[in-house]
Amino acid sequence: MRIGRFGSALFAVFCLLYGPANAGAAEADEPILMNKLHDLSGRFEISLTPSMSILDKYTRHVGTSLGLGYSINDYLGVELDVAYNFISGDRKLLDEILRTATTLDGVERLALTDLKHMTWSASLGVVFSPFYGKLNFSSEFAVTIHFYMVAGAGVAEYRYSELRHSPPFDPLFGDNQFHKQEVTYPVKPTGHIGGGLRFHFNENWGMKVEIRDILFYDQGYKGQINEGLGVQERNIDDFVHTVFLRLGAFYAF
Amino acid sequence: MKNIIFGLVATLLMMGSAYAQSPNERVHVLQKRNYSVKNKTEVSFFGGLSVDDTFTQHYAGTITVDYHLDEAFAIEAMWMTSKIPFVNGDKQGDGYTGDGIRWGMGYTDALENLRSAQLSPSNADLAMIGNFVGLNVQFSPIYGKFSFFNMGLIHTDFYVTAGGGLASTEYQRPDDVWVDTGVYFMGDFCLGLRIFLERWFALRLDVRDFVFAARVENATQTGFDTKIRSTLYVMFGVSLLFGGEDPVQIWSPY
Repeated sequence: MRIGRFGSALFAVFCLLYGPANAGAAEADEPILMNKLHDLSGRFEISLTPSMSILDKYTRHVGTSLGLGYSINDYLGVELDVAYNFISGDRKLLDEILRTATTLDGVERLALTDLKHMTWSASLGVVFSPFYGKLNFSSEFAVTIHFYMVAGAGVAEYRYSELRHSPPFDPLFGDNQFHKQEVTYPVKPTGHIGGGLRFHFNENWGMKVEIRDILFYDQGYKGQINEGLGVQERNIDDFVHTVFLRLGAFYAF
Repeated sequence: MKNIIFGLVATLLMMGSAYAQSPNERVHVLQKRNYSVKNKTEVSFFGGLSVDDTFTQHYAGTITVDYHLDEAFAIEAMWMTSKIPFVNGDKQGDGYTGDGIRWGMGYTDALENLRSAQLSPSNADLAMIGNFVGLNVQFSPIYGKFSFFNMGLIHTDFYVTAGGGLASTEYQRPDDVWVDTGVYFMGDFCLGLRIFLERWFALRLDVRDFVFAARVENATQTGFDTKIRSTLYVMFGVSLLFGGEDPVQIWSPY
């Protein structure tokens, strides 16, 4: 990328003026958060975080995850995370839509990416903690916190409910009813990205609240698309996102 | 390029010496509150969008006026709008046309996908918030300081607000006609973060949930569906603070 002579000169002037000016102001007016009570550097961390999915269309997840982390320094760490969803399935909304539908002729055309739900996942990630802070709760006690971001990759197993509807006078399922058949996908490679807050209550114990999006690229499943010329079958490639809200405890040592 | 390298080196060297620090000490409570809100009036302007609803997508502009009774409590009046108020567009049957008037109201791809599968959600699931006026109570129990890579301080207030008000709602039929679904009492609850940049200026981030009971004619027009609807917004805003007093400076290493 070409920056240009004027741009680079401007950047140099900005660095000279802005950096020291801010640093000097901080020193003269008030110190930076200097008395760091909870260092991360060189410490291991075990965490147990119950989680639930948010922002789903037709699926829901409730589960828990177990994590092991190591902080290389105050800003950078690595983590291993294993999660299992003991509730993983369709939301009530989908059943309600199917139950009240006037026709089920097009039910097979629902996008499968919206129906896939995760049963378990395992991942490795990098944790980046640029913000360190102190919070004052009603002037009574102080809690130190880290704001962190996490990104990484792993594997996960997904399932989905294959929707079918029975034709009129079907002896097995009844007249014009929908039925579901659960299909298990092979284990898929996943990526994840997220961010959260780590609250330190004492030297060892603390709490984490985090939002994490686990996604995989769903490649080439057969979908039925309603186009101008009628229903066409074609391959569909799309990302499947599962966003979790995770709230848990950790022990650092 | 030489200028860039020179700039970076100069910055690192000069900042390093400027940020020399003292030894660790035990923290009891955070002192030296540099930003005070007591007796201040705060006017905030937000832009936001709904994030959790399967079928509806709102974009909204919001104005709030807060009066801070003390450092912890405030009362807040708010107006949130996704539609030009008191204007409905051209009458068509029992509804109205005019998507431009409803600039912040629309539906997600999920609805289109569902309709292409010859399915449809309940009309109550499609009801959208046009305008909302409400009154809230704000509680700010947490004041905090953050350092970013130990380079500079950020002063913040975390707060919760709760309250309620009146909302006008509409939904759009498949023939693109908007149907007025009435005015409802709507409750709202918010978690928020205020970042002070100056004593008179702050940035705000609100995550605000609105809940109402939508009662809308069903798709076959044979009765009414009632559903509890919850719409979660993420809002970014700027605040201007007027009046009040400067905080009393108490020196502390924290």
